[in-house]
Amino acid sequence: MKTGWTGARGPIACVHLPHFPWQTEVARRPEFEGKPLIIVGAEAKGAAIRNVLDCSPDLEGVVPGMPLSEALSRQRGITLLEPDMPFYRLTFDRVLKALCERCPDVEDDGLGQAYVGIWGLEGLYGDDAHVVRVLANAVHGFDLRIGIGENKWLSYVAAAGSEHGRGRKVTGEPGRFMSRFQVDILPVPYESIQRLHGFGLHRMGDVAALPKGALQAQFGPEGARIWELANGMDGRPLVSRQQVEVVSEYLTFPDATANLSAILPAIESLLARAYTRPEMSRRFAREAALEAQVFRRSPWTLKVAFKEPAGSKNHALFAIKVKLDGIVLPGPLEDLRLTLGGLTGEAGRQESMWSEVRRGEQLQVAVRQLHARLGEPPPIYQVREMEPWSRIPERRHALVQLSP
Amino acid sequence: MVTDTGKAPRTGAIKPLNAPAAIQVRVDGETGAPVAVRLPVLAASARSGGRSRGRQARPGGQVRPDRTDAPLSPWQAVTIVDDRWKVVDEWWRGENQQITRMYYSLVLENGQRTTAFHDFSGGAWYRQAS
Repeated sequence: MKTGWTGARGPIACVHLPHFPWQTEVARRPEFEGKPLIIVGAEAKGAAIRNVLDCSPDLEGVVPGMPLSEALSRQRGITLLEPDMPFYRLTFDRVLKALCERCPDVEDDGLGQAYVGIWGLEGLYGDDAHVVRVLANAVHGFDLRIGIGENKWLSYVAAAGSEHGRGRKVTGEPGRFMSRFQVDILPVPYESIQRLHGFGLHRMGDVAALPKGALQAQFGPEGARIWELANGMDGRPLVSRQQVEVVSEYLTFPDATANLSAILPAIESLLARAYTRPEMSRRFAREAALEAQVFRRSPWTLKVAFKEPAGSKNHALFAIKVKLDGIVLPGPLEDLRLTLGGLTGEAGRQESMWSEVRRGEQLQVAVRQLHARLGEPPPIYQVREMEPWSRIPERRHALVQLSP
Repeated sequence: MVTDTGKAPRTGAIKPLNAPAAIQVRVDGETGAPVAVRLPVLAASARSGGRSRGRQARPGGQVRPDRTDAPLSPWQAVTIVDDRWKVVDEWWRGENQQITRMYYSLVLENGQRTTAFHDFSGGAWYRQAS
């Protein structure tokens, strides 16, 4: 999803789902409830040690970001779990979508955390308390905390300090509000937190009482940020998600199936439903995404970029069939969601009678297709004159990225 | 088959064309002209892609050290020095910043023609693609 800075400032709500990966795992497998559990962070390339991604909330002395070896030395009988990032991402996307349906300005701040711009919503929902209620009702089945503050950091701290399903608003002087919180809530690496404790700086008030330069001297630019956060200052703007128009259809299989002869008719049916929707009338889709819950496995997703924007069910189905041909499903699918994206605004296409213009248009179409498939501008360049008069040969021409 | 480097693909907006590539040169003690050269192996240059071909020139005239590990061909003797000329540019930047290159048009023992230059600011030799 694309993002864009709204430029607007005002009260911000932080929707905080503490221990979101753990909550997601427990919702999926209730047998983990009440058991000491650590979800191990993904193995980073080149990193010798693995860190804790998340853990049960009642696991004392263990915090996310801590090295796994240190966490294991503090507790016994811990169950270790590999992370299922696609599943967490999919689940949190649903949370974000539910929030977007209530409030237009929502920023995704990583798994389990979102910021919502709540300025201008009084006319729609009433005061802040009502907005909190609306946001809390948008998300079901999770331990949810909401905080309201003048900036993102204050709203986060307020949310972290609130209770399940409740909201908290920062009023009065921010520095005073912050002073009693532990430095462990600072969004800085685990090592920096340990260093702060090593200096005897256990609470925000301890940090705020120091001169900014002293922290900068020890921690560099990060020290300045720590000092500002300890004083409740945060200049980050709210960067809201831009709504991208998509058309989505969903079905559930009567029995979980991994058989393509059952899945293909289901896709055909979803495509037929999608293309008969009014918003798809005389329009083309540039890509399709298939998502499915897999029986006792991680969710399965497949993205198909159409070579030519597909304006009909049959065209899209053909491309999806080709893509499915070389794919092994991870297990039996329980349901299926089809999302058509990259919707074009054109109802038809008129080709130029001039061959050169036609060639240019074809090239632009090809670049757009590659962009949709790769998810970023394709590495296609054209030779351009830069300083043709230069006596230095390498300055005369350059390869410039071709953009449609 | 090209192995996956594991890095995210990255594209830059502008890439220099015909960037000079570092070479090794043996020079004549009296005239300073090349008598033998080791050029970058073509396949290696192609493998490095547009990202790096030997060394690339900076806008300020300094030559940027880039892939110095690009393999070079065996020594080849220079049979003819066809032409030579000097380029002095951006003199207004001062002696340390100005671009001063001595170009040589060479014919090698295998018949290959190439253009090389001696960069006076860094003291290194480069092949100039044209």
